[in-house]
Formats: sequence, C-alpha cells, structure tokens
Amino acid sequence: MSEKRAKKRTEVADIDRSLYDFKKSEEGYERFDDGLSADIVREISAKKDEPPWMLDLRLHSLELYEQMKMPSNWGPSIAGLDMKNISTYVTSGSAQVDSWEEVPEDIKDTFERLGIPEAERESLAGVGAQYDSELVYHNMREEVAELGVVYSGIEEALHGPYAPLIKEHFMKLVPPTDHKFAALHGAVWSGGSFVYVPAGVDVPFPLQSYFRLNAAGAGQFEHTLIIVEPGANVHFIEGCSAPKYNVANLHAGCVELYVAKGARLRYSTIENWSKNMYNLNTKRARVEADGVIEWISGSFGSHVGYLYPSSLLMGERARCEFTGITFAGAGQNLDTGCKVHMAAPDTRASVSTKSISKSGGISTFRSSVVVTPKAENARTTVSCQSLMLDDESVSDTIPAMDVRNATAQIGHEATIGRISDDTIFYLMSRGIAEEEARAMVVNGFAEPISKELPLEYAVEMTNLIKLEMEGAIG
Amino acid sequence: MKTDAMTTLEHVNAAPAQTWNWLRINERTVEVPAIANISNGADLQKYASEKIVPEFRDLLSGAGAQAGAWIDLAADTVKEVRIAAGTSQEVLLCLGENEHVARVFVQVEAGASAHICVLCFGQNLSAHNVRVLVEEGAVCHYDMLIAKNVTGRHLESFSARVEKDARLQMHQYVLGSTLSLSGTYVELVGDNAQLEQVIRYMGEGKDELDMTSTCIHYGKNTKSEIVATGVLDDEAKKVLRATIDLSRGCKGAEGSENETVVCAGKGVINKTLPVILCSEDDVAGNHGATIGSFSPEQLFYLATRGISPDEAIDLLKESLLEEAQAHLPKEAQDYIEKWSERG
Repeated sequence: MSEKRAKKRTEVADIDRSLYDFKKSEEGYERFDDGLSADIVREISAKKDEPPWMLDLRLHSLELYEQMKMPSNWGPSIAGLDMKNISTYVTSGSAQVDSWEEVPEDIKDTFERLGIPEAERESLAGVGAQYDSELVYHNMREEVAELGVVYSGIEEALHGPYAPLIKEHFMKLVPPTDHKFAALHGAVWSGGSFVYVPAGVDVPFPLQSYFRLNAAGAGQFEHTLIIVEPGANVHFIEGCSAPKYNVANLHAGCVELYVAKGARLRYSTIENWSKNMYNLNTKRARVEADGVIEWISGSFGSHVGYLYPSSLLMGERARCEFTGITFAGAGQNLDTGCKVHMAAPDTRASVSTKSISKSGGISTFRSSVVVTPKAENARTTVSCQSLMLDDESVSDTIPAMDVRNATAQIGHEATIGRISDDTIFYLMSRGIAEEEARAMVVNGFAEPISKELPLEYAVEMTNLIKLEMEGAIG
Repeated sequence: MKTDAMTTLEHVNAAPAQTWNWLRINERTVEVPAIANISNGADLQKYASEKIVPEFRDLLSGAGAQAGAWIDLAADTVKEVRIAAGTSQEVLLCLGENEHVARVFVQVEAGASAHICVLCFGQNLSAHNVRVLVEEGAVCHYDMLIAKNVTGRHLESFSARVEKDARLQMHQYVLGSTLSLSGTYVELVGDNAQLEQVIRYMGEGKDELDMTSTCIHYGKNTKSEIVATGVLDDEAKKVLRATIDLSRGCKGAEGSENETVVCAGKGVINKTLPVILCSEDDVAGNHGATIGSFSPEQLFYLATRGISPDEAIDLLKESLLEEAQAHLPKEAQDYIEKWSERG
C-alpha cells in the first residue's frame, strides 16, 4: 500500500469516516421516478436494449414482488424502507469505459479516494466499478484476457457471444421466487459483472468489482454472474460503500456462482455500506464434484442487513468454506450468516464466524446446514464466536441443522462472551491505553478473518474496526 | 373428551427466536379433539384463563399458549399442591388408561423440596400442563417419562419460575410414543437461581419427537445447563429447539446447552435449533451439538469386542432405559414395573 493511501486511511481513522462518507452532486444525472411500476421496469429494460426474455423475466419478477411478503416471525424490521421513496435507476449518463482517464472527473475522484485505480495497478487482474445503477469502468489485464478469461459488465455480455450462456444461468440459482427482494432484484436489476473462467485456467491475481451508491434515496441492484469451468481457479473481490444520508437507501444485489468439477472460487467481500442502507443481498454458489467455494465475508456497514451466502454442494466431494465477520455498532441491526446444502456423498463444509456488537448494535448469526439423504459421509463443522463490548448491545446466535443421512457427522459450537477485565488490565500494565487495548483485542478476535484477505483489504478491515472502536470505552 | 370434532393448535413448541420458515423447524401445529363449542385454537386461551390458579397466571405454558390452554380446559385430573416452607413432598402423576389429561400447579415455598414425577403410558392421547413456582432457596426435581412402546400421542407442557438461590433439576425421558410433543419454559428470575435440564430421547419406527426447551435468565449469577442425548433409529423424526436467553441485567450469568444425537436408521430426520440470545455483556453462553453415528474406528473397536453395529445401537438404547429406570423415584419405578407386567 502506498504512503499516500496509508496516510489517507490514517487520517480517516483519526478524524472521521470521510474516506467513505463523501457525497457528489447528482446534477445532470438521469433519475427514474421513485417507486415501482411496470412502466419503470419496461423503461429500465428498454434503456438496456434487452432481449425479450429478459423483459419477461423482469415483469414476472415484479408480479412476484407484489405478491410476496416479508417473513413476520424472524429478521430485523424493514419498516423504515418504503419503496415509494426509492428510485430504482440513477445514472450519470457516462458510458462504460476501459480507461480511468475517460471516467468523468467527479466519479474518478470517488474511486481514487477509495483506492481502486491504485489497487488495480498493484494487485488486481481486472476491475469493474459501478456508480449508482451503471458500470462506469471495466478493464482487465491483457495477459489474463489472453488466457480466455472474460470479465465484463453483464449487460455488455448479454449482447455478445456469451448471451446464450447468460440466459442459461441468469437467476437460475436465485430464482425470483426465492424471496421478496430476489423478486425485486429480478424486476429492476442494473449493472454488475460477468466472469467466465475457461477450464483449467488459474487466474493469477484477483478480479475486483467495486460498487458505489452515491445517490440519496436510491437503490442499487447489480447482478454478478461467475462461471468457473472445470479445474479453473479464480479469486473475486467485491467491495461496496456509500455516503450517509438521512433517508433510506437500498441494496438488493444478486450473486450467482457456478463452480464446475474440480474448480475453485474464492469470493471475498468487505461490505461497508453507509448506516442508512438496507442491505438485502442474495448470494448463492452451486458447486459440482471436487469443486471448492470459499466465502470470505466482512459486514461492517448498513443500517439493516440480511446476508446469508449459500452453498449448494451438488457434486461428490464438493467443499465449502465460509469465514465471516460482522461488526454491529450504533443503529445497526445486522442479520448475517450462511446456508449450506449438502446433496452429494463425501461433501465437506466448514463454517467459522465471528461477530462483534457495540453501542447498542444488534448482531444475529443465522445459519442452516441441510444434509440430504444423498449426502453419504457428509462432514460439517460450524464454529461461531460472539463478542459483546457493552451491555447495551445484542448478540444472538440462531443456527439450524437438518440432517437426513445417518452417516453424516455434524459438529457445531458457539460461544458468547466479552473482553475480560484481566486482559485489558494486563495490556494497560504494559503501557497500552485502554481504548487501544480494546481495539487490539478486537483485532485479534477478527484476525482469523483478516488473514484470509489480501493485504490491502486486511488493512482496510483493520481500519474499519479501528473506526468502529473509537470511543469504545465506557 | 370423546368427540369427533377436532381443533388445530398452532404455535406449539414455538422457538422464541425463529428462523427461515422453509426449514419447518420453528414450531408446529397439532390436531386435538375439540372442547365443547370451541373450534378455534386461539379462542381456547379466553376460556382457559379461569382455570389457572391466580399466582400462576403470568407464567407462560411451556408448549405454547394454545397447547397450554387446551390442556387446562381438557384436564380430567387437576392437582394444586403447596409444599410448605422447609418441608419436602413427592407429587406423582401417572397418565395411563384412566387419566388422560392433567393440569398441575405446584408451589414450592421457600426452602422446601419437591419431587414431581410424571409418567406417561397412554395408548391414545394424553397430555399434562405442569406449572411450578420454586421460591427462594427451594429445590424442585421434575422427572418425566414417556415409556417405551407407548403407541399413543403425548403432549407435555412444563413451565417454572425459579426465585433467588432456588434450584430446578429436570430429567425428561422421551422413550416412546408415536408422537411426543414436549415444551418446557423456565424463568430464572432470582439471583443465583439454577436450572439443570437433562433430556434423553429415543425414536424408533416412525416415532416423531418434537421438543422445545427455553430458559430465560433474568437474575444475576444465574446458571443454566441443558444437556440432551438421544438415539434415532429406523425412520424416526426429531426436532429439538433449545434456547438460552441471557437478558439484559443478568450479570454474571452462565448458560450452556449441548446435544449429542446418534443417528442409526437410514430414514431418520434430525433437526436441531440450538439458540443463544444475549443482551448482556458480563455473561458466558455456549452451545454445542454433535450429530452423527459411530465412526468406522469405533465400530472396529466394538467389533474386536464381538459387538456388531446393531448390538451397539441396542446397547445405547438399553442404557437410556436403564438410566430412566434408575433415576425415577421408587414409587414411580413400582408403577412402571406393574405396568410392564400388565402389558
């Protein structure tokens, strides 16, 4: 990480959240009317010159959205989210380009402040940057393209040679019938990335998509579709942030991941939406025989979050590793976790999560492990640790297990506790201030997660924790 | 209770903190004979309130409001027991051929000791709703057995409020019954109150076991421990929802829950929902679950001792029966012996 960028981050850690919390004018932007209607859905589809099947899917999804209800017996309240006050499509009007020089100045400044161009130069194989509803930048290293890897905007891919492949996979893993906000996504999705990694290709550096929602009272509904062919290997990183407004914003993205035989996909996310955001995102991976899906998930932002990446282990010996951390601070109600569905012999899953609650924040770990009758000799371990930093906060653990094969072995453990006074006393006796001592312990608690991230992102996560820990005494 | 009309009880054995409905694990419904003109499960609560002894009115029913109300109204046996301060008493309830549904209130006064034992042998539908107040420094043992080879359905509802320095020890043996529904709810309201709950279960054939255990910590330095162990064979189905709720203010509290399930039959369905809810920082909460069968290494070891896999499972089941037999009070053991001879 360069000194300049490190300095910016240090300043942010010392002063405020300005690294993420800055706003740009929407002057000259195209913004659809707030609310949801068939006309708006048709308008979005027309704007993207989509094939008829996509418009049909959108309109069918809209019908489903209107029919479906949110569950009344679990999950955080989304009463503060009124779709009548959300614009589903906002764009600067600038075309997607593959050179940062061509990106409009104010948008470029946004991504520069977030360190995206620099990260691309230093450590990434390709970058996509979405600003509000549209991708504004997409590029990939030539040598990676030469391997046959495709990394582009999904809308762009829908008009190219991969259109049939997209039709075959789009919203098949996460159908619009899945839940209300999957249906909403199906109706108004816009932007997102398409990744295709041919058989046997090992992508040497990660690909990254960064999503920035600048507009107040808007929604972002990007769709990410990744297909990793047999024996291939790729690491995809997703980042997201937004400035804070005093009106609700909505993120209802969708991620569909197809991991073929013997392939490996690592999907890392550092989610840092602003604390007026309702994050109702859906992520799902289908893994075939001997394939591996690794989820690294850090949830720091959002006012309300529902996020449970799910893994469908459909082939023999398919594996899933989920490593997650959630930090819920003041005004946040983050309901996070994962789902594992084991449907083939000798499948393996390992789930390790940490959650931290502070200043009245509510953190809920929710998971499901389902072992079907076909999953002979399936093995799963689930470990969940929660740290309470004060007595105003809440930390709940709600894991469910449904086992239908007698040869399966499932182990689950969870603990909830606080930082012991002895630990803080010990650190303070070595000259460390109390606030720093607490931050050290929390960082140590989060270390198993951060060590799984590339250095840049591990530093970002550590800084986010530091930001959250400011004023943690008392 | 002889009637053809049926009532559907909803929210039976509901977990206090619920999860995805598609898992079908949160709660269940159950069909029971209708009472008088009340065909709606929700209306039962209105009529049942007058059946409740005033001191117990704000204590929830372990199996849920509708289930508790139905038992209260349908009860053909009613027991109201007050165990005077400093004294000791046993309360035995046998739900066999003659007593099908029972409503029981037990007040264990300060420093007193109670031993409540409920035995279920019903070949049809039996149910009990036991409510207990364990006052300061008192000790209450609650044992419940659903006997092996019972072919009926049984609905258990148990709830208790445990005051300062008081202790509740529970042993539940669910060893038979076509359908066993067991809901328990315990409030640790006083400082240093304690709950020890042991659940042993066995499912064979097409048995269906549905259990909910909820413990809420209110008092400081309260302790709870829920330990469940069971064997599922053939095509048995089981759901266990265990919740420890460490509420705000219960500083120094400790709660733990643990379940070990041996799945022996190819058609078993085992569902587990071990929940910890925590609104207090100065507490320790943990839960663990182990679900599986014998490992190849364990089977090999047993084989070297001449024990086949089937015999190993039979030994496990036998150990559950023997533990139940050994644990129950003498009077209950005698009753079981007579029942066994008769059967």
